[in-house]
Amino acid sequence: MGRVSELFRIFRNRKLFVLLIVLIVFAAIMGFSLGQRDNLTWPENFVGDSVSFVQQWFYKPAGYLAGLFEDIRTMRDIYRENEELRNTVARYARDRVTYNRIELENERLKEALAFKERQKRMFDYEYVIAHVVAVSPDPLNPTFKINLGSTDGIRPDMAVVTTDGLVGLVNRVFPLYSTVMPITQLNSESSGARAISATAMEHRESFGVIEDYDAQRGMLVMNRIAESDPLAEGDVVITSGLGGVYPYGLVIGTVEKRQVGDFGLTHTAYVKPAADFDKLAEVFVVVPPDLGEEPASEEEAP
Amino acid sequence: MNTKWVIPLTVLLFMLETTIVPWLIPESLHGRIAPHFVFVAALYAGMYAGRHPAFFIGFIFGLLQDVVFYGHMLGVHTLLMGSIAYLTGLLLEGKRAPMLAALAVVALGCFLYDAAAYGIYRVFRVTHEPFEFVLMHSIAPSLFLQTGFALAAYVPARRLLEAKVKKDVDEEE
Repeated sequence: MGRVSELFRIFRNRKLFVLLIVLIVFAAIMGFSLGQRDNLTWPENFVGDSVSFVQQWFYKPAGYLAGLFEDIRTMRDIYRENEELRNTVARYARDRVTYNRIELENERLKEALAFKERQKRMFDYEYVIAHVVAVSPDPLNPTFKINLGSTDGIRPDMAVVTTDGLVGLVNRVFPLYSTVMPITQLNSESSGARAISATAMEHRESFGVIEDYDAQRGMLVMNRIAESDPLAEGDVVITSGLGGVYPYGLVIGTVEKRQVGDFGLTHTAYVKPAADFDKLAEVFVVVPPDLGEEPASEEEAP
Repeated sequence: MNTKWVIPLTVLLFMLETTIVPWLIPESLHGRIAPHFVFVAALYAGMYAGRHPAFFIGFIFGLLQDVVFYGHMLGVHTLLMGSIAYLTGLLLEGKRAPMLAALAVVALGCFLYDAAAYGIYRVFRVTHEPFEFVLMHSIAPSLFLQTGFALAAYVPARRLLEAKVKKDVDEEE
């Protein structure tokens, strides 16, 4: 009994009691908000959207100004870049001819093989352009906000790419804006772990899973590569499209090193990301085709 | 200058650190330097205005940052900015700390803030980098930016925040 009354005497100190309650409440909030949430509550939606609405007035002009200074500084590089772009355009024009021929042939073959409408539309991924409106000031939670939200058909876990390659995954979706988590935050240990199945441009039969980022090396970690896999250093790693969420062929990066994995059964490759995560202005959200399979949360709603 | 400017100015700082400052940080330091200007403002409020305004600024703007950049989880910045700003107020309220002491407090507060944020993320298994790496990679470089900002903002912050205390004292007399 003496011990219990002593406990009460400690709690009679109101400040300590408040502190304890605050800590418990915050631990609960953090734990609750950690996992996947398809719908946010209205206060979150209201605050998130209205603040981002103001942020977009600042971010874009700042980007233009920074770009202007950048242009003046890199005037000399522009000539060389122009040369390279001309080469690329020439190659593009050549590829375009081949592409048209192959696409027509592909259409014809699909008709001949009597593909169902659903199968035909399976790879009709839509690339929706989005503008970045703000960047998080927390290095351990480096999300950025884009000006597309659930009213534009954005859902969590959609892939976000730039012209260089995969940048991140849509994380939390507000009605008009959403946060994007860069792939540098992939972590197989966390509760909301995401994994991207990947293959190589040079070796289509290789397979691995990208689910970690090694910040000390600055490289993505590609696990579960079979010992006999032909993946080699210098290969360009692309998404394999096997999960159905991320389309086939998004560039992720290049293999820098391949070694035996932690358990010795499979191999691990270190992949240098192709995309630049800094000073993003425009990104593309990859929207998978709507195949009539509504997400589970919407089916539950009447 | 009047105390009614404190909230609009802090909103402006929040906008600045989330939109314009990222464009000014050189590419080689991307992901290493992070501005915590609003937090510095909350610390100044703790030193020169009192623990309650400091807690209010830290809590509200921490919540704002948590919700707007909702990534891993909610509540980290709300808890840390609110509690560290309150603690600063509790220890230094009315002490009229001189400039060097104020800068030292800002540096210490920012270190505490970043280290505690890392601790929370580590506990919830959001990050798995060792502390030594995070310390050298992002916490230490960010400290320089924060201290630099604190130096630049010292005079206006003190003038703006101490005005309230002085006025209260005058009214009491």
